[in-house]
Amino acid sequence: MRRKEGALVPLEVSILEAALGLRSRGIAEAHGFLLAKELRDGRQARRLTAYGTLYKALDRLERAGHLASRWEDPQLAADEGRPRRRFYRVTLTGEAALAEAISAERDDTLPRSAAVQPS
Amino acid sequence: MNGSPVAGLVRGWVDLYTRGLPADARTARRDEIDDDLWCEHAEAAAAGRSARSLDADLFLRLLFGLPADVSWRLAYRGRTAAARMKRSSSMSARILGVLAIMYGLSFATLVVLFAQVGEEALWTTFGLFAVPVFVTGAIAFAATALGLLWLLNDRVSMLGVVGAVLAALGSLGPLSGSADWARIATAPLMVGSAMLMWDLAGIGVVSRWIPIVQGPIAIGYTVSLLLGPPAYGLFLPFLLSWVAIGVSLIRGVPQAQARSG
Repeated sequence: MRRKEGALVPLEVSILEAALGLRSRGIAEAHGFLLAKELRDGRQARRLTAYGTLYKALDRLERAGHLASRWEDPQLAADEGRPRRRFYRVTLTGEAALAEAISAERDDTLPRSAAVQPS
Repeated sequence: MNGSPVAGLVRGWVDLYTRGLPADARTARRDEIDDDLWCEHAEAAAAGRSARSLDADLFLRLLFGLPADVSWRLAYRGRTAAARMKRSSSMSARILGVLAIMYGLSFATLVVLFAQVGEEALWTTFGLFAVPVFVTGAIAFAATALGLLWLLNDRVSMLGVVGAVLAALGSLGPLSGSADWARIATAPLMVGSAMLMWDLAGIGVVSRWIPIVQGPIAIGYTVSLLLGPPAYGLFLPFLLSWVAIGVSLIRGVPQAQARSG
C-alpha cells in the first residue's frame, strides 16, 4: 500500500522519538549508529536496524525537514582515529510531525464505540 | 577501523550502489556507513563479543537493508533526473542516432525477410540486397557502440566500456561469413548492448526501459542458443529498441554532469 504523502512511517516515528529521547538526556545531536542503538535498546531488539533501512529513513526525514544534519570537523575525527561523523538533530517541523503522528495513531487505536456517540 | 571481510563486503556494496552518484552524495553515504561500522566494531570490542558474532550482525544488517538501498538509489535517480534531462543536440550525437536507426531498421528488414523466405534464399536469391544491408547494419552498429564511448567518455563507467566493446566485437563477428559464428556472436552483442544501455540509462542518455527490455532479451537469446536453435523472435524487439536509442540520440544527450567513479 502506498503511504500517505508526508506521513511518517513507524520507523521514522521511532527515529524521531529516539533522537528526542537522546536530546532529553543531553545529547542534542546523534549520529546514525547512536540512533540505531537507541532504536534497538528501545525495542529491546537483538539487532541494529539494517544499514539501508536506517540511512534511507534518515535521508527521507532530512529531505522532509524533520531532521537537520551537519558533518563534524574532520580534524576532530582524525584526532580520534575514526571516520568523520554526521550528526542529526530534530527540527521544529520534525517535532510537530511526530506529535501529529502520535496523535493520529492514538485516534486510530481508540475503540470504535468511544468514537461513535450515541444519538 | 573494522577490516573484516564482511565489513569489506558492506563497503563494496556501498561503492556499488552509489556508483554514478554525484561525488558529494557518494562520499556522504560512504562516510556514514564507515562511521557506523567503526562504532559497531568499537562497541563489540568493548563488550567482548567475538569477531564471528559481529560479522554475523554486520552481514544481516547488510542483507536486510539491500531493498532499501536499491530503492533509495532509484529514488535518488528520479530526483536528479529532471536536472539531467537538459539535453543538448550535437552533430556527433545526431550521426550516432542515424547509425543506430540504420542498424535497427536494416537488421529488422533482414529478420522479416528471413522469416518469409528462409535462411538459404535470404543469402542466395536475395543476396544482392541482403549482404550489403547486413554489412552496412553491422558496421553501423559497431560504429554506434564505439561512437557512444567516444562521445560520452567522461561519463561512461567500466560497465559501459566493457558492454560497448563486447557489443562491437559481437557485431563484427558475423562478417566472417559463417552462419554459426553469426548466431554465436549475437549473444555477446546483445549482452554488451544491454550493459552499455544500462550505463547510459544511468546518466539519462536513454530511457531506463531500454536496458530493461534488452536485458531479458539478451539472456533469453543466450539461453536459447545454449539449448538449441536460437530464439530469432527476440531479434525484432531488440532491433526496435535500437531504433528508439537512435531517436533518443537525435534528440540530444544530457549535458555533461560530472559523476563519481
